[in-house]
Amino acid sequence: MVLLLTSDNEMFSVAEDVIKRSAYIKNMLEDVGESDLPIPLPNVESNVLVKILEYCEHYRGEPLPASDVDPAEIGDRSLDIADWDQKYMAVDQEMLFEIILAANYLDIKSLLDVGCKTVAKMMKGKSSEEIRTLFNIANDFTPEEEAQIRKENAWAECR
Amino acid sequence: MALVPWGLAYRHLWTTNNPPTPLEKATIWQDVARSQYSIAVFQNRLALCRMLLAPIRSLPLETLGRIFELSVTDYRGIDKASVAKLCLVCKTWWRAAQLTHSLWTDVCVDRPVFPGRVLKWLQQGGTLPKTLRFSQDDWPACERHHMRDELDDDVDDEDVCKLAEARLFKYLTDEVPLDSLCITTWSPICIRDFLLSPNPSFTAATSWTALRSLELNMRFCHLWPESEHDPAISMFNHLPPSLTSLSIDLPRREVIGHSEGFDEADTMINIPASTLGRLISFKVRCDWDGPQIATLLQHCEQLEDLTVEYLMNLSDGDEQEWTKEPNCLEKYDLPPQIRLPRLHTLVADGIPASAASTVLQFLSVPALVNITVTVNDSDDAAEDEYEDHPAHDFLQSLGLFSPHPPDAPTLNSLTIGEAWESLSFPLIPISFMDIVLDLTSLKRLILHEVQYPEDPFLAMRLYMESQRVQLLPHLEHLEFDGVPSDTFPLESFFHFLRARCDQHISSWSGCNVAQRDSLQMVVLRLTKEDDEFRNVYYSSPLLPSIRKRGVSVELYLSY
Repeated sequence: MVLLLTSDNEMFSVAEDVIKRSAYIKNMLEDVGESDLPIPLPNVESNVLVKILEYCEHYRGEPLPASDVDPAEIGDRSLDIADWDQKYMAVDQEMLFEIILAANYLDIKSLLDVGCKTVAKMMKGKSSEEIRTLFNIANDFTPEEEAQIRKENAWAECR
Repeated sequence: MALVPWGLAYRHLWTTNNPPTPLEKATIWQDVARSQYSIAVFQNRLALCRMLLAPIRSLPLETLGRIFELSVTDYRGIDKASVAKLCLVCKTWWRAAQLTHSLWTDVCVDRPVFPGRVLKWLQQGGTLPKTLRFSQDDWPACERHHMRDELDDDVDDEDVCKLAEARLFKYLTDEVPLDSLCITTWSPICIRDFLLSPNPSFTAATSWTALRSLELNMRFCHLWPESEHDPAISMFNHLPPSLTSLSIDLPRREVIGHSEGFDEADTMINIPASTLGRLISFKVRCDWDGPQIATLLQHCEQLEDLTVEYLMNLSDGDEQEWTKEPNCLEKYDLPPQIRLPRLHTLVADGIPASAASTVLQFLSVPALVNITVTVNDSDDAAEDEYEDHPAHDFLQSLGLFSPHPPDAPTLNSLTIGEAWESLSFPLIPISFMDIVLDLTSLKRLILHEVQYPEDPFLAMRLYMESQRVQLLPHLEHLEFDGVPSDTFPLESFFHFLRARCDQHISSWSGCNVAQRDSLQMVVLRLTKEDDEFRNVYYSSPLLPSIRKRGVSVELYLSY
């Protein structure tokens, strides 16, 4: 078992083969060897880690996806998400981004990929203004800056 | 005037049911207005706090860039309008987009535009390979060349060629070296006009002389120029000198078939042998009933990737009829077999089922690693006549790639299926067994829009158990694309998977450490909604036991 200490000081005891889906933890275990000391995860809160562990548990024992997939092979299916992953990602926006950040920190490539696809799907077909509203983003361009970018890219605004 | 603290002036009303006096009423209305203002202030503050805490702010630029890449890409490439849109969201996103070089590497010019803007856009792609697409296929058609079959064919000087209007040569400068150029036009004459134009400013530019990949799409064209019948004056003599990848999409037979002087069996595509001999990748889309593709391929000795799209119409009766004549290759002075010694990937899309085996037998491909074949199965066999089905011969012909030298001992990947989604060809157990027994080196097997009229998985499981062997011992990826959810024997398939894993484990029982089974990923793609299938999938007790054995099984809903 591996002990993990979250940023809100919660301790988790996790089976090694479950958490080894995280390349970060896997490398750490290989470098440090067996230890009773918990691995601190200062960037991950306990509620997020619970969700991450649900993912790792679901894929326990299954091979890690190949990272060298030929993009041509994916073709127009670049946004396809497996049915279980879609259900797993049906969370509020805050949790979705927390999962992406944790997956990035823990180096769980397949989860990071599913998270990025989920956000990309949310953005697809939306205008800049709709994207701002969707993600609570402030428009911090000055009118002049915005006009300049619009002018430069005006030719590209139709497909 | 100091404001009276809230509610103090009418405090007695809180504990009685007396009506307020007119003065009290006015004060209460004043308090309502003050409270509404306070609410608005707090709502603004709340929105601001939410904005400050917006989790998307914390994403590293690299992750944001990955999200951008996914959101702007579709089957046609990168959508420049989506890229432009991302840049306008906020400064951080604008910066992230600038740093994501891949967003700027593929651009389509579909109307007159100042070339400097496009080149500046492409420059943001840094050192990544760049693709420039000229798509001149929207209305109105090219006034100068549409429906004309020659350059000098009584053209009104005021009519401007749409491709010429796009000033393509202005983009072919040394400033931004291109890796790939795609041209889609209304008429082959537009392309001919461009290729033959003696403009040293671009023909000498690195972007042209070093161009490695060219795509010419003429699918909407109505005529095939008469000048193309003569190899000496063909426009293909003027292709870029360093070309290693060529894609040509020829006009459809149903459109040009009736035009004067066009004989689809005898009209050749006169690409010089020296150009073909340099190609590493070649894609050709052609539905002409003639030996054009075979004629071109005989010169492609360096070819590694070949895609042939036949694109037959469902109603089309004459499907590569020329292949049905005895000695058909000889008739056109072609060798009895076309040898492509370096070919590792072959995609034959929409190949007529009745001609598939013949067409594939033309080829000798000793180094083949990947093959994708989707058949156009317009002759539907009766349900009880699967063995007479046109696809049956084709499936049996796959044996030609079996490990008998010199044919493809290294075939790793096979994708087979039906080209049209509305149809699906049947894979009976005997055909399935042919595949798994002949193609033992397979690592990837993808079945696309295939029907399973009988249960092939039961037959395979019984074979494995009786022979104590593991079928497809190297298989890593098994995919069913367009699963016929109402007839697919899911439980039997799961039994087969588990038996396969168990067969592997038992074959290692004498050893200390059992190696992992080669099978890693099984994908089932549903293309129509079927809750019953999903329920059976998720409730099957076999699924967890298969996953426990280290095989990832995923259901995708692609509808």
